[in-house]
Amino acid sequence: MTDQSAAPKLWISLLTAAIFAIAVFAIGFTLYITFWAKPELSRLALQNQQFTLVNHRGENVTAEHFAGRPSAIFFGYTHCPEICPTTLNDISIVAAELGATADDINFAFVTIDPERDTVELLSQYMTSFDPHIEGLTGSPEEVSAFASGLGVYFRRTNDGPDYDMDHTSWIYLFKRDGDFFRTANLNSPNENLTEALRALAN
Amino acid sequence: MKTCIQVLRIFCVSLFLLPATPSLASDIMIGNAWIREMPHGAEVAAGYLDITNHGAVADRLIGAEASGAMSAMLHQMTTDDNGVMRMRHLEGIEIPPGETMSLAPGGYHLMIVGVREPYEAHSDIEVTLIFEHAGTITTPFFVGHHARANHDAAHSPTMNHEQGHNMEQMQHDENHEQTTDD
Repeated sequence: MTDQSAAPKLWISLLTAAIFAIAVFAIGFTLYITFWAKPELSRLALQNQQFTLVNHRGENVTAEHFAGRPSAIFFGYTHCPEICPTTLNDISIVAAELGATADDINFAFVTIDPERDTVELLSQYMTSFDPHIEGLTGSPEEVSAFASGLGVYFRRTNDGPDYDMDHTSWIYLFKRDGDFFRTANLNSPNENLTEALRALAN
Repeated sequence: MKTCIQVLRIFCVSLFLLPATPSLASDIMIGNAWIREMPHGAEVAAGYLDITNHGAVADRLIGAEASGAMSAMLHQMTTDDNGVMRMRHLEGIEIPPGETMSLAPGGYHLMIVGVREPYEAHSDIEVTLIFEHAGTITTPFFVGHHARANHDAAHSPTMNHEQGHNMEQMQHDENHEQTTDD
């Protein structure tokens, strides 16, 4: 008799414990999203990046340079035979499609190979692409600071003179206030960079 | 004198026989060969092509030399789920019998380094491909944003200026025989 009534009681307490556990998890998750993950995202914001780079016209560029306009930033290097010129060509097409709106957007190509990509070389290289795109280089430390601030991966493949650079090939998009918007992957058939930038510029 | 003529005759006959000896060179066919147009100031270029092996045994592309460049290497590009592009040097690219290997954007390419004078857009650059069995094949690569339109249309009945250019190109190409076998 006692055994029969004990079983449902056990189930009820187990159920209560489960509901309690779920509730604790849900509250914890919400707190995580609100107070921990959000600062994580704000860490990616352009205004929180510490760097001083030089553009292909020889002018100093800090995070402030990007303030007040949406940004599309791509990391690469000029000794890159395929993905960098292709991406810069694609961005040039996007800039042309945007027409006058492109004047209200920061387009930047940041070299992750500053040792070879000097201001002089970049000033030549950038003439092959839409003039809205700014080439950025600087000391290895400053380039590293900007790249790692955004979570951009890059690594030299060998110590020889003809080395390659492995690197993140996404385009980083930022809102007008400098907050991180999202990354764009031009290899994805669903990607529409022109529309994304038009929306950010509106 | 007679022996001299005899020797000459044997020599001449053997010259004719030379191309007839089982040479695997004729088994490799190259198509859609192009080099990506280089941005100003760039010293590297990527070359792409299709290699078809009509032979009965596998062959391997083991190297290349491009005119006007220091060296050319075989490369494979990969992009992972995190968007990280990686470039790797390859010792060779195998072309199984009866198959076509494409060196195309997003995958394999010829990494041409140390280009002394940037390749002029819409020009043709001589590239020598080195195969393990077929030996060397020299073929022109078109410089542009993609392969030359109608590059493989030399046999098609429609005549246009591109085709005319192709024909002319092929006459200059000593590998004409082996590249148009099929």
